[in-house]
Amino acid sequence: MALFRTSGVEIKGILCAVPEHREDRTDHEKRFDKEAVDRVLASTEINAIHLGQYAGQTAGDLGFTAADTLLNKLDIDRSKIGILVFVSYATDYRKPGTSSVLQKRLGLSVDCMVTDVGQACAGFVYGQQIVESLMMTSDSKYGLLIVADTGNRMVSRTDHTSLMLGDAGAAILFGRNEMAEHETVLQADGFRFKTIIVPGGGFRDLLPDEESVECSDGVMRTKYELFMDGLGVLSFSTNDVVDSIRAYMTHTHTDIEDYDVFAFHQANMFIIKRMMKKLKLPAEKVPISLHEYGNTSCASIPMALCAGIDNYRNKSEIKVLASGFGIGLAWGVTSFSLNTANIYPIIETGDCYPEGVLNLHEM
Amino acid sequence: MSNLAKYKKTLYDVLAIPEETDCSSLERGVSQNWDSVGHIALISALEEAFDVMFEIEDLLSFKTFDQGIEILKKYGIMFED
Repeated sequence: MALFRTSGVEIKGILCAVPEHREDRTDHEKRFDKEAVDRVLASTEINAIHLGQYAGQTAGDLGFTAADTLLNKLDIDRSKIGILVFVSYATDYRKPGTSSVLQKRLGLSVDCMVTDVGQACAGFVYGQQIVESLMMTSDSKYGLLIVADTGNRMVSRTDHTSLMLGDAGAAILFGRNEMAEHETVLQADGFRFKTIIVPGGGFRDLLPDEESVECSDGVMRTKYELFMDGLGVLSFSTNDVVDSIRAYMTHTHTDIEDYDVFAFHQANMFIIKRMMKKLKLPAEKVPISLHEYGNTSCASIPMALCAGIDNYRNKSEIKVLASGFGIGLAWGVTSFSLNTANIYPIIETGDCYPEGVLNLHEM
Repeated sequence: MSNLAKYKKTLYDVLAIPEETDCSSLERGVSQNWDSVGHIALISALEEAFDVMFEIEDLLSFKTFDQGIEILKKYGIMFED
């Protein structure tokens, strides 16, 4: 078990942003027959998704709105933010990283280090560990983690997966607390890297043609579009991930009663229900955001926390166990305390960054 | 309703196939709508109908009508001959 220990750092606030554009059954039935939509909605319980592509919104835009709003709400001196980590595969540009653009847009100082991390559904847990580790080796007062994705744009329009993936961005601010201690398990299995993959457009196969091919799942897709072995993901989620959560609780000498909230990556309700049943978790401890927002990739753990926070405001502080799992394959488990006053409701935004589309003639 | 009738009805409803279809010929990846999404929907519906939760190995090995019956029997579901 790859165990990481951090101390002296805690989460000071979380805020999520989603695109205003919303799609539900009515929209889905324009592309798929009613019976197919019924099957997907019945098993996933994803009733709606929010998509940024119609407003030209990128993951960076959603992350920016979440972070800008959070920093204003917490009245943070932005010159004191020394670390910015942006987690996504849906970057604004091939180069530079989106974290560079966000540094500009958020008005962060040149004394803030910035970096992108390529992760999807395990991205919150991986990102949290990275920021906390950086904080421990720096004198920075604050660290900012932004997790965001617009995965729907890489899915074939004939693939039912396009009914499940929603766009979102989340900002998580880290600050100092001498008493805070966290343990995180991070795991990966590159042997299963093809389980969830966009095979073309990377440097391995930079400019494949756009021919649509019928894949083993019967879906027509190009190499630029996501392939997901659904049953492989199901097996991984309900075996490897559940085993890691059990191992984490054994290692930390904790059990279900020690946690107020279990925040899981919001893949779909079929998977989450199986995890809950295997771990014997009561429903009131498992917040859900996917009914309205779908699978929001690396943002889904903060989305679940923000979507469910009104259920926990009777306590000033909650103890959370979080588990993210997905592309890589990668997965992780962590736990932390949260001040419920600094967990904000999900906001909708139409904001984007049109000046980010560059004109070569002007460069 | 007998368990066999309940099982068949679940297949008909989830896979959206006519009830005169010969169920013994149904096969995942071959029959209409029994793709990976259809399979998950079918598993969900069978688990609800029979109040069971399939182990992942059984869920993955369930590919035909007859296999489904044998798997359900493992979970204590009786089928009249």
